Amino acid sequence: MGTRMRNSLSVNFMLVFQSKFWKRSIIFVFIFLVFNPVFAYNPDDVARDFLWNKVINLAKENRPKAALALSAGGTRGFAHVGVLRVLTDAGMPIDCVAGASAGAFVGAFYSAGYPLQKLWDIVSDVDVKMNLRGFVNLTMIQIAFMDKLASSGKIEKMVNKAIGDISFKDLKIPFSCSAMDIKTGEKIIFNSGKVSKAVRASMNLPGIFKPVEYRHRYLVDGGVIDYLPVDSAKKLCKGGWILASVTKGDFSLQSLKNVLSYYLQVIEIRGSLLIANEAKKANFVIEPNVGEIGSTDLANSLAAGKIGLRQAYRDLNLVKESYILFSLKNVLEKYFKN
Amino acid sequence: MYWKNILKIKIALALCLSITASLYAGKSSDLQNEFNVAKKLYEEGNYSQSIDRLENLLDETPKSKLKRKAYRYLAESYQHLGKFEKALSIYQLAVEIYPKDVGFLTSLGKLYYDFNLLDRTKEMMENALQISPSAFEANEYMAYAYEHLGFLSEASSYYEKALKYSPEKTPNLWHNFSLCLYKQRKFQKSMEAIKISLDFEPENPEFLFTLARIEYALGESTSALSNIKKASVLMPERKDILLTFALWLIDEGNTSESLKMASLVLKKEPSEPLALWVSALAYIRKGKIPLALDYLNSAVKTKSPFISETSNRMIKELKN
Repeated sequence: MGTRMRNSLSVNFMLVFQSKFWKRSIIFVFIFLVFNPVFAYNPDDVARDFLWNKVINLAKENRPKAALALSAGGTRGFAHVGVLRVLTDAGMPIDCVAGASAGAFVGAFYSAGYPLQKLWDIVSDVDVKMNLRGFVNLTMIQIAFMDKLASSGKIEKMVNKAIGDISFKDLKIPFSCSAMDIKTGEKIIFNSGKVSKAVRASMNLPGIFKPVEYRHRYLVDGGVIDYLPVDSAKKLCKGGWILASVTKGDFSLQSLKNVLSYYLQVIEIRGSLLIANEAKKANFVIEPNVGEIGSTDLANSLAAGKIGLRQAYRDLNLVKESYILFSLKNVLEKYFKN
Repeated sequence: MYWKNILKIKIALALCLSITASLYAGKSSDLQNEFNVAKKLYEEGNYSQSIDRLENLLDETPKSKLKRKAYRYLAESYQHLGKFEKALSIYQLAVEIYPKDVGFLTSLGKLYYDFNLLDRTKEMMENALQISPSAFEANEYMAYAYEHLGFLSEASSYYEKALKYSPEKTPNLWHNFSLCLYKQRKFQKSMEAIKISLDFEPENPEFLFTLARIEYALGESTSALSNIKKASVLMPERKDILLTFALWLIDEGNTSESLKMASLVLKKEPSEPLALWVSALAYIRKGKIPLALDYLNSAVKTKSPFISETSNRMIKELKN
């Protein structure tokens, strides 16, 4: 494909042309000459490929662990599935996963070894497959007349159906997810017990869903307190390299059309403050541009997945470089030993 | 009297009709001639003159069939002259007029692809495939667009379709398919695809290089080294092949040969980043640390950010 593609002309570039035709043609010819080399040689590509193949072929115990921290973000969180697709294609080792809310959902499936293609299929039609249609359109009147909070039990059932009624110890990759105790405000990190219950608690929107009762605690959505669980990832993969996938909302773009959207907006704003601190602790941050997608905009789950995939693919070389540099001593050990 | 007048009117009408028909026939045949001249000019490579004639013809011709052909030759003439924006606007117009013409949709999609407008490429090719699911080029460019965007499994399935519907031998397409599979680390399938490419062109150095990379990834280093050697002999100007070969030789312990290759490049370009780094790595392997540090220090100063940073960290590591 490399020789076929005359690439690197930005999408917007053509729209810039407003001058006379001959001027534009000259510029176009120039662009073709500059961006259409018969073969584009980049020394970094060769060095990166060489070292990448070395690092990913090292035995697990001979290289630094690689952890993923998957942020909350509702529908936007499905961008993580796209990110995972790219990382998996590239052979990126993933030794542990920490997630919050939507990140917990995606992380649990991945850690259980659920096929990414099937997870992508869920993302393609998430409101039907998760049977969540309805709650996202709650109006002020409906909420005012609700005498009790809805149950998030559907999430638990759905997780159980897909990955089985398994415990954390049964997962193929170490995984943790976070929730908040609504009575004490404490951050609760799940890394044992039933996975589906933990994922449900981590996705349990306060004020909409009933708190999940678990070991005398009343648990609500982990995104409220641990929007980007980098610390949890660090605990799982001690001394490891941390990749954060961040699906921050652009709250200036959200249309506040009902009570729920105002309420979620507050969580979003708080979430972005939490991200600012946590992202600094990660070794690399992938930030898909999903800000325009509302957290309950389930119709756009596939769009979020696609944006995540495209962003991860754009960042892939930098991700590889970051992990290679982190592991350089291990990669070149046999050279240094001589 | 009345009937006589009627007869006169009828004769007059018939005369008028026959004159108009003959005039129209004459004009139509003129337009066909004009088109043939324009086509001949195009075929002879006189694109500017062909464009003049085709534009005049498009101003006049009412015939859809001729017009359709004229648009195609016009757009292609502009492409030959490097006036891609003009070609783009002709294809856009043609697609507007003939929205179900797979040829125009595909040509426009290809032009979008050339300008890296990948979403628009996909849109055009999807339209073309709705009309003709077996359109070879539409499948081929869907594969390229998806691959470039990172959707590698989608790209693979379009490669398979393109190869299925390909009207002729397509070693390059098999090669591209192989590379797409290689990116997904599906090495066995990638190997199968590249072997088909090599059946068509056994001495193609690009194909041999890809085969060598797959073999190396599979741990078949002996055949990988043999194939990369063939590729580098066939394309000695390709630094990436030569220096990849040099890196693999270091792994095999053949540091002397590796250093020779790097010095070949450094003779022409003394600050070539990869050649400096390869030399440093070979000297580290040989245990000649001061020499390695010299090369690493030079590599740090190059404009390749990754090699520069890697070299910097290696210096720190060696000094510890």
